[in-house]
Amino acid sequence: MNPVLECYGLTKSYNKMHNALNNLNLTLDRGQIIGLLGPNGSGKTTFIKLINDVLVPTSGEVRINGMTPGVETKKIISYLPERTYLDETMKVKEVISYFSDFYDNFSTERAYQMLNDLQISTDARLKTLSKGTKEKVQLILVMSRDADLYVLDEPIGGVDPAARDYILSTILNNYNENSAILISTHLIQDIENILDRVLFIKQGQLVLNATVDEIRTEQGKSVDTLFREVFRC
Amino acid sequence: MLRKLIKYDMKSLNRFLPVMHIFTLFFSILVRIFITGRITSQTSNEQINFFLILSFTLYSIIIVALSTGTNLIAGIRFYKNIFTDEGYLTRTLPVTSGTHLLSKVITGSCWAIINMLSMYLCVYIVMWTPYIKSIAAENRDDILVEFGFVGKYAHISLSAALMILLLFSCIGVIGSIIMIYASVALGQLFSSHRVLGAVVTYFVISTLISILSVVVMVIFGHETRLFMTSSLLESDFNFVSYMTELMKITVVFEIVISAILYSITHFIMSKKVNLV
Repeated sequence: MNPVLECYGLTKSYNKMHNALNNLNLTLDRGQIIGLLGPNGSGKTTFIKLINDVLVPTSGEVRINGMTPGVETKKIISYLPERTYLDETMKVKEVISYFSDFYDNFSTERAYQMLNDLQISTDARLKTLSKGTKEKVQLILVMSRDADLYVLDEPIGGVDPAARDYILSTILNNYNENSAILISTHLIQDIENILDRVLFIKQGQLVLNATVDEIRTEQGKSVDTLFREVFRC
Repeated sequence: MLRKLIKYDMKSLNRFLPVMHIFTLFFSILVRIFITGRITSQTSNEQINFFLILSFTLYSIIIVALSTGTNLIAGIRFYKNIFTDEGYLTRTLPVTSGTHLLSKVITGSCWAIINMLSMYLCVYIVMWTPYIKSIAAENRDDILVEFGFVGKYAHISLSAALMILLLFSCIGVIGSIIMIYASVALGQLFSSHRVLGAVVTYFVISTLISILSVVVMVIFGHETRLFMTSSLLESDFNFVSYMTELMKITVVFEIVISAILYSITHFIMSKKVNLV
């Protein structure tokens, strides 16, 4: 089976002085949940934006399912940005039909089920919802798609611990051997148990690409402990 | 996908614009009832002057506010939907940048045309009072001659003239929507203060187009009329003939400029957009 994500010499600079991402080479296979970990400003979000075609690389390339970012890759990537990206004047049910209109792989039924589980009214306007609830709605929308690659940028940062458990179990339930989930987060302890692989990124470069099992058996440490060692200030 | 985009783009414009236009029409009806409709042959000259100045001022304010507001809202929706946080959703839909732009131009233009028609309707409501209608009917032949509807233009029907005027106005308003979008897109090339960049770009493009249009006029030999020299006042000047010639050149000019600005916007949206 072909890799879901490949990067070759991927570089992005916002100004001439500094590369936010520097010559990143990487191949990710399907059937795994991957943690993209690194301190603030390390290039995680830049990498995610390049995968999703909201940034143009300075050099190098990124391929999803063998294709450069475009209409075809957008059909198979489900992306959760780290900010509120919905038109806040819309109602929850209107956003659901928006997603169902544009994405063939969106399951309206699954979305309504999850909204019901989290007791979010479909008649509510987004602007009347709390920040955490909005984040939940966005995550529900993203996880209601049958995508090849889920890219979640800080998916649990703003939600309460109880909802966090529900969200993590939702992520696990959606995971299958044909898809991969890339999660960027600071909250390593919370998600460590669901990760198969971690990528450590530092100053725009990949410093570690290993499975969680390798870290535990070979180094005898948890991912959280290793992260604190690698990125000690 | 284009149809779906148009549906949602239209929906988002429809939140503001109908209210503005209904308000303006309502305002025009009030102006007609309380100001222009009261002018009759018994009204003294001084009063007529006062009423006319007042109604023209009011009407000008309405038109400028409504047109600017319509274009501004179309521009803001384009900016917010493509280049701000909403862009993280819009730009990750499985749709090409070209389709996004086309949808925005179609929906923006629809509203610009509705706005233009509302403007004409307002003029009709405010100015076309029974009194003015009767004066116009009495002096119909003189007015037609004065405007130059003589010779080969004598047989142009009112509906044909209106159709030409409408077509010309449509091209103009679509061009202005494309220019606003181009300014917003070019503003994105600034590393910071992108909204300010868009506003500055808009004025730069407007100035460049004005200079270019003068150059085009000079090339086609209309410069003397353009600068309103004394030759204008000579008896051989025909308003209709002049406007017809001017329209022909302006339409071609407008279409060429719009095509260039559309291509620039498309290029920036496809190759240069960096959401930060």
